[in-house]
Amino acid sequence: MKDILAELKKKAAEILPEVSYFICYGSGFDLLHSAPLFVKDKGDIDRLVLNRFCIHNLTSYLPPQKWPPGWLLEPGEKIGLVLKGCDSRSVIHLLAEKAILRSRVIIIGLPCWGMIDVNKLRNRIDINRINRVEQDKESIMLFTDANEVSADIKDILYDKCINCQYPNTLISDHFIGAKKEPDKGVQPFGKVLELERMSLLERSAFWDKEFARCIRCKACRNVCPVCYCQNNCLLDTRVPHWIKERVDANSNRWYHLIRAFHLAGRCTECGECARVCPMRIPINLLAMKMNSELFELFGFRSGIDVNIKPPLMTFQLEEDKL
Amino acid sequence: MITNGKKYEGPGGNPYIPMLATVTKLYSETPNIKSLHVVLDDKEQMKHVSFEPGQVAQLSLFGSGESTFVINSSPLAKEHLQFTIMKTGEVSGAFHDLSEGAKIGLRGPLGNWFPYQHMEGKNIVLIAGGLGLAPLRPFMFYLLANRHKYKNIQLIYGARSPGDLCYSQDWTIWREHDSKVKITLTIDRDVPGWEYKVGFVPTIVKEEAPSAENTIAVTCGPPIMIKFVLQELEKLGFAPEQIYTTLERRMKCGLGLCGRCNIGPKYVCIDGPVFSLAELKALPNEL
Amino acid sequence: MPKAIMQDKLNDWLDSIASKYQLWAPQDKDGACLLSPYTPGAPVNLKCRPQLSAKKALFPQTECLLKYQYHKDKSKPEETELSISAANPNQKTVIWGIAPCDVSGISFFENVFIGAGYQDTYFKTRRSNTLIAAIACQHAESTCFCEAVGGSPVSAPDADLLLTRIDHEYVVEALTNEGATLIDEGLFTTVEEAKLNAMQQVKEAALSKLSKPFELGSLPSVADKFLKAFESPYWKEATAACLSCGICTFVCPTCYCFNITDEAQGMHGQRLRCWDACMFSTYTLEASGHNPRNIKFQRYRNRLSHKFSYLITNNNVLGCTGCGRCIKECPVGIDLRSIISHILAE
Repeated sequence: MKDILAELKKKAAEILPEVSYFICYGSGFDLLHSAPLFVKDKGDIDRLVLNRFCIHNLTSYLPPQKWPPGWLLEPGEKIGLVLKGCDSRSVIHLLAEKAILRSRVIIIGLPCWGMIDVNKLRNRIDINRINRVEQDKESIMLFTDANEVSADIKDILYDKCINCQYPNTLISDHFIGAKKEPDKGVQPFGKVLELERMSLLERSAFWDKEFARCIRCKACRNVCPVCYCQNNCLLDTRVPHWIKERVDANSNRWYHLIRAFHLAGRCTECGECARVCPMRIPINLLAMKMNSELFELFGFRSGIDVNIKPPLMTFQLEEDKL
Repeated sequence: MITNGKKYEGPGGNPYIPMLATVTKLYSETPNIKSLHVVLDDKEQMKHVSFEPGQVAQLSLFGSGESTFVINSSPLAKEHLQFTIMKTGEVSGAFHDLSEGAKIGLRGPLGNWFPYQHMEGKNIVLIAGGLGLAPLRPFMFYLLANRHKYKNIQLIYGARSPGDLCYSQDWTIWREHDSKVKITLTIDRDVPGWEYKVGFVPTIVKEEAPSAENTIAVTCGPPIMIKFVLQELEKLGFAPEQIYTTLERRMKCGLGLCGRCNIGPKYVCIDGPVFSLAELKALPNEL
Repeated sequence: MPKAIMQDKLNDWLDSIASKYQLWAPQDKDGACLLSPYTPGAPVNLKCRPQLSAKKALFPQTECLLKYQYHKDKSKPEETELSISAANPNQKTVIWGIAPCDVSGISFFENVFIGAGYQDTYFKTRRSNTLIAAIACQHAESTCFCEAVGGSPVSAPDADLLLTRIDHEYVVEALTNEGATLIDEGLFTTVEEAKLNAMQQVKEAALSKLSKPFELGSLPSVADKFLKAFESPYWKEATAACLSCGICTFVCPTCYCFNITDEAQGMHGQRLRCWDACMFSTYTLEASGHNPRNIKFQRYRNRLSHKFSYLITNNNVLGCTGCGRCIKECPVGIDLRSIISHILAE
């Protein structure tokens, strides 16, 4: 991974003159976190990191509605970004939706071996005592003052990484590193199938329990790369008043279900909504379910091909698949 | 009379709870602005109601919500409290749909007021645009009732068109008060039959050029109008201490607790709505 | 004198408290650790830092302020009568097992909600009916910095009881007379000198674990520095990655902004108070469309300036307890400590 980082820094330095800023990863508040980094000056390229904690989908910052303050682009100006395989699906989908312009992004692609879910790690060890981390493609070694802890990488990867179909960036201007072979026999909708095996009552009870925890912080919506309605979102309008102000399982359910419907065939399964949830609600499963329906009906997978119109953005008078 | 500054206690000592009240009269000022007369249901309370010119109240329409409005009747009149409401959102829209006799709630008075004592012995220029006359209306009543304490009074009032001018029944009377009360009316664009000034309020301020000498200027209206009026006043030699304005912010509690109406450390709901330009200049620039 | 209780007796103790009080205790809930209403026998988790602070027990996310009812008399259809009644949340409550940083959060609320200004009747009622059992914190996380903002992980002067874990036992100190009434004699043992010494040692060890990311200086000087940094271009840089979500405000033990809305059901309904977040753009959006804090750096700047400047100016209190939740839960890794350090140094 170190060699890829060196190559990434080199490439970033190369394209920096062509872009207004370059979105990548920098170090986070501890060794088990990284954070999105916005680079404008060449001097900041040294702050780039690439490790098993670069989970954030940087596509979230691409729709013009979500450009950061002071980082607004003038017509013709470009954004550069580094993009993992899973996240590249969001870019492809935004292009298919014509929400962003291809000519305004320069993408550095790379292979990915999966990112580590710190919450899974937290359940195994006291992560606050870790003071050194060594990582490579296959394993991770964590060191505390007293001893060394190693973890089987499969046990601590994000669920989406265990089920990764697209380890290499699908759309890029520059690809660094050697492509990784995708795992075989991946079940992209595995978790959805698990839920579907529940009886209706069990499933309803499962979601009631999850929705009861939701605090409506709107992080799931705000981080979502394809949620770019901003203040026109159903959650923010008072007239009409779609969602009650009251925060309880019932009104939370409406928020999440309506949102899931808006994501049907649009969700690119990056899992950011579930990752950011401070109440640890697996909210990505709702949109995943919608996607699985669209896959069954239309054979459609979002964010794979720029030229395929998402099924819910078009219609035929005689729809042969319905 | 109207020495106030008391906190709103609320029924049972709970300042979130409104006093019940009835809308006794409701009429249109302009196509999207209505005035309403409100009387507290508790007759004893109504007898002792007192507020200062510039203070606001929270009106409740239970089921729709609560919104802040300036009390714009005369602080000397006790028959009713008047409010004027422009139809903009959920709550204001619901108020427009009320009929006379409707039951509402009122919390107030809240906030500060025009420091009229400090203005005694001075000329007063009031500059308002559109519904910006609402906070100045009770002040004007106060000034006219205490006419001997103040020198020349001028009101420069403008709106988009003649139909957008509020309180015509008032300024037609104020005009006749005495020779040293001057009312200058203006509309943005000329229409047939209009016999007063034409032009934006800041332009008319420049034209009228009130002297800054021993004068206090008070301006209320849309933010963009206030911005240019302030520029004109400064050109005329008004110091920041001589200029007052009222601020509008989204408010909820009116008690300085819900957090949203702050400008730096000041809350518009309890430290305002009246601020001198000197005070505003000392605050972070976040209007 | 302090008393001690064995770990395996904790549930018995809690069951006894729960028979007289509404009881909040930290518990694991589906992958999240939450301060939740206790049901007898439920396992509690004293080693976790609950995702949400203890403020929710005294300042619920959704709270009824009043109920209203319109009445119509069929014989006089043109007339409508209205009655309202204020909510009175006076249930006897115990908040159990919270860290000193969360107790500081409650003290902060007292300053703002029942201080010199308008009194928040609802918080006041809840607070005066609530006892707090805190636990000395021996689990500093990499995001903790309570000492840097004037707190301590092992003392909670505003609590009624203070628990300190020593191996499989908890030493319980009563800090108030009301707190002492919670100590159920049958379950507790007396504490010998040796155990008191052990307790002191545990507390001292916890103190030495904490890092201090910045030197704050006097409160007025902090307020001044933040005010002077208002126009700093740094705010834009520091908040580039911010998603404008409500996590930092909702998990914060001192964020108290709220919204008031009515919820109608035909002829009756409620006026609700719900948590709001100054990080939402709709928070300050006016009916006219104007928004004084339209851009996210303005909102973030206001949030931090409120905590580190405006509250000092108005209430002589700092709006941060150093619990670190906003750092730990921020989806994009915005670290408040580095921003404070930067502003203090600017």
